Amino acid sequence: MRRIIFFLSLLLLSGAFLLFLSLPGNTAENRGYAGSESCKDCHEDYDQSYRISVHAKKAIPGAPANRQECESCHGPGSQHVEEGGGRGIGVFAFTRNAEGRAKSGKCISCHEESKVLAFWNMNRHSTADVSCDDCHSVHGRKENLLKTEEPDLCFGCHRDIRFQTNKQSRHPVNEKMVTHQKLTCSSCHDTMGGFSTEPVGAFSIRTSFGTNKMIRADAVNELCFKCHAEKRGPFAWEHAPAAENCLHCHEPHGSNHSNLLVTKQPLLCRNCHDIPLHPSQPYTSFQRFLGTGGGKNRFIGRSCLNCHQNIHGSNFPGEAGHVFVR
Amino acid sequence: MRSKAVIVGLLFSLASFSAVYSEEGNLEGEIGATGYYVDLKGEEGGKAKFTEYKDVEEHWRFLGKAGVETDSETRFLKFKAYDMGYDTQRYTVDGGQWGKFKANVFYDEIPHNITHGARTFYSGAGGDTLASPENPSLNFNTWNTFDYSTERRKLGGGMKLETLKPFYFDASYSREEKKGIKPAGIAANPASPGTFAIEFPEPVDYTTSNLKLEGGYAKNPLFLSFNYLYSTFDNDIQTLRFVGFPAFDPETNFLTLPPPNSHHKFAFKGALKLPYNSKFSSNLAGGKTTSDHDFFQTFDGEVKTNNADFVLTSNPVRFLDTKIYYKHYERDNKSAQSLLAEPEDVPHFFDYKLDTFGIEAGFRFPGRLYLRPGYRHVKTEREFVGVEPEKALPFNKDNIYSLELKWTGLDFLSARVGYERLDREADFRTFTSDFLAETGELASPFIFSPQERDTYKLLIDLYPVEQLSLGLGYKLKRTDYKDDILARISGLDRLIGITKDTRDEFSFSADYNLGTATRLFGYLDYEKLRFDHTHFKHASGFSPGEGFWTEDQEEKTFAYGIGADIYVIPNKLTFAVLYDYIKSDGFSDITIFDADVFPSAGPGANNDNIDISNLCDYTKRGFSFKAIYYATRTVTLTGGYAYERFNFSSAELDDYQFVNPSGGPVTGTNGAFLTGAYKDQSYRANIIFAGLTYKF
Repeated sequence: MRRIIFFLSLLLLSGAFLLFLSLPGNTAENRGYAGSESCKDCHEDYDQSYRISVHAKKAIPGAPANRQECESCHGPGSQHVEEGGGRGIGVFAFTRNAEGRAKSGKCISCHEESKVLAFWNMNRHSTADVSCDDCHSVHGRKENLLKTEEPDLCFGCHRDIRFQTNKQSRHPVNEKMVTHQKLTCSSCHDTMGGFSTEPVGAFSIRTSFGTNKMIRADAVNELCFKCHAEKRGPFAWEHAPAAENCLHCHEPHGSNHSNLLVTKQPLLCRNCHDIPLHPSQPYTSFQRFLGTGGGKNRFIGRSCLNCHQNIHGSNFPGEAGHVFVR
Repeated sequence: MRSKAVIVGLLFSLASFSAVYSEEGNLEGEIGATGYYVDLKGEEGGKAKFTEYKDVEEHWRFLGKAGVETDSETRFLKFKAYDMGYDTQRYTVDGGQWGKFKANVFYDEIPHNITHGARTFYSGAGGDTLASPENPSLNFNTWNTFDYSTERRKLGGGMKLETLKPFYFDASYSREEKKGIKPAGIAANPASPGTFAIEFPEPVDYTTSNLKLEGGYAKNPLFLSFNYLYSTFDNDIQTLRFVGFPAFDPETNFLTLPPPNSHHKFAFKGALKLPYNSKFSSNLAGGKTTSDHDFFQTFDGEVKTNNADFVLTSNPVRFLDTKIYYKHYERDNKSAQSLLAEPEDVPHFFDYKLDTFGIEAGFRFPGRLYLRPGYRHVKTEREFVGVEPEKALPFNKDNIYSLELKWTGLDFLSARVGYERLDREADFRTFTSDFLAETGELASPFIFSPQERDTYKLLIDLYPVEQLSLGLGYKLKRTDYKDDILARISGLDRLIGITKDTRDEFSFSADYNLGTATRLFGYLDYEKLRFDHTHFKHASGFSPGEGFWTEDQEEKTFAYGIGADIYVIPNKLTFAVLYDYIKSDGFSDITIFDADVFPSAGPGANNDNIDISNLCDYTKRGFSFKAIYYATRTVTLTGGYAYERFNFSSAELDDYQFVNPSGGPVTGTNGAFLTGAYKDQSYRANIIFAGLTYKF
């Protein structure tokens, strides 16, 4: 309760801070427009790529084609023309080191009025100062105006995820020798908006940083159930970790172990089940197929799943359901 | 038949739309086909692994690709087709009027091959009954063969109406069928200790349908969105029945398969822009999932979920942006059953609540320095209704502190540094000692245990010259389960369960353009994971001895890739060369401290010979050479060669035996009848390919 009061107080204080804050925001730019024909004189290649883009469609209300065209995004260009051009001189240039928030602000000023970008402000990309032009090129007519296709586009920054998707157990997002990828990063992640304030990382032994991962659901399991509805249950006998969060046992980006498991069985199961009978037994090299130890059928083949098949939940009445063997 | 019908339907719609659109729009597209000759060496498991998500198992394949696009000032239409006639085929049609509406239809297939050539003594693989003689043959060569493989076929479409801006309306529907066989297993006797294990083919015959409706208003300063999702899951085979074998109890000769379920969800999302570049956003959602299973008809499954997010973001001045948020998520199990009365038989229904408060602030300092500290408090409450106190899961309180720094002060360099600290408290509530010495019951589930976790990360992007870009990443994560369960057994005090896990990751990538003639690129990744555990072998295990033992599991994974795009004749002839390599090495270091425990490991076991040296060890090499010749502006020829080799070895699969007597009769305790799932996954593939693409 004290924390809730603290949090609400913080919200109120923030509101009060905003009300009394008198510093102005960005001042309006009142400089003159040069017109897109002036731009074309020097930047014909950019002009051509703009003309074939969706931004040049006059049928779209509010599109740059119905406003100041190039200067809708780059700002009034008369000063740029007067000073003889130059990168970023007198206009806004989307350079590599320009402030991400400022660059995105140009796009957001129009696209905020859409469900796709209505929540960009709270998005992890936004708070990490990633800008729209890091992924999109507004010129041209590539699919979704992406600079390159997924997943390579995402792997440019998320190298650790590229690594995971190269592992032997993985979702089909980074397959070699195929004409198209069956899944993309954006199948699960809303890269441009969404709440996703579930502290995903806090529940995964493998994933670093508990900040939101921009998943397309209110909770991890709701996301996974979109494709794996058979795990949705509800089951009479629930396996609590599975019902709570798939990430307790699975690493969705890729794993060295089959079925995207975070560690090898039986160790994975023993993380919780270090109890009498067979879970407390050491499974060693003597429990291999040609080993001479007892209890091998808990280790060989699919290990614990040789018997506990319904590990996500069971509807078998009684003990057999309780221990997920029926 | 279904896919053919879909293809005809899509082509028909395309033709119809094209007739309308070609009058005013430009028409362009491409048609291409690539022929593959695949020489695949490996056992059946390896062949399945190579084609895990592909349909190119052996010999000749001709994978086609086509796209047609028409685009005018007012309307657009796109048609794309991939891999026509194969198990990976995909078709999409997107069309609409700019600024008015968009519509799309798609059909997609995704195969998942697990193991081919699996064997079972049962007949009826893929059906709802597996039949066997009472004493199945121990000669697996006489068993029936089948493939572990599933196929998803998804058909759907949607529409987005934009004509009433600022109001909008979206609707979509999809239906996916998933059919095939996957590996499953049961303990022959459902009563503990289960005797022998039986692996068998589980039928997959699922149908999932999703209907989504969304309407909203989007005009600054207000955004409102109302969503409805209705999802159904049907399983045509809800029980798998065993006839003949095993013969412990006919009443238990069933395996329950996933129950049909339906899911409704309503959601409201809203945002309001406030003064000083601030925004208040909210996401409120409520869902209900119900299930009914043929086999357990007195059980009515019902789970309700509720979600509430409130977020306030503000960017009042250039140098400061803030985010304050609160999330509540609740899973409320409302299931009921009226058959079972004995406490030990009554199902346990799991509920949990998650509350998160967080605040982040971003500060922009001179010199292009961006600092972002954050704090999050997460409270998780779990109730496992009806469960014994010692099996209750704890309440957790997490305090998570983070600090991220981004610096772009130099034109040729950007750097990000991050640190995060997680402090997790666990309250077991129901009993004072987490470890019940009298039963030896351990209640220390690892992810729920008290722990301290430190995570560090570093990302550097470097552009020393215009043509060269370098990326460097490092991440270190250490978790100490410091307050883990302290066991007092046999006069010894030890921490039990997972005690520590660490993760080190390193990545490097480079991209270099040698003028306009060549592009060189490469990457290198390394990861080391380690999990340290202490266990207590109870006297009620396979042998009477008891005592402490430890298991430290380590995985090292290393990968690199190098490639080049060589523009032999600019805009005419390009060579693309790529080599990828990944190697994983898993090791389990086991140490037994009490001599009484060694017999349970095996006769002759000692601390020098019990370690496991191969836990999912594998190497994968891939090489490809591709020549691309732009013969004319419309015709492109490709050809090349690819090689892929995968070697897999893991202790639980090496020297595989379908019938494992484990030192006694196969139907005795610890025996197993297996089918070969995941067996022999190694393979080697040589692929020659040639293709032609025509653009118009």
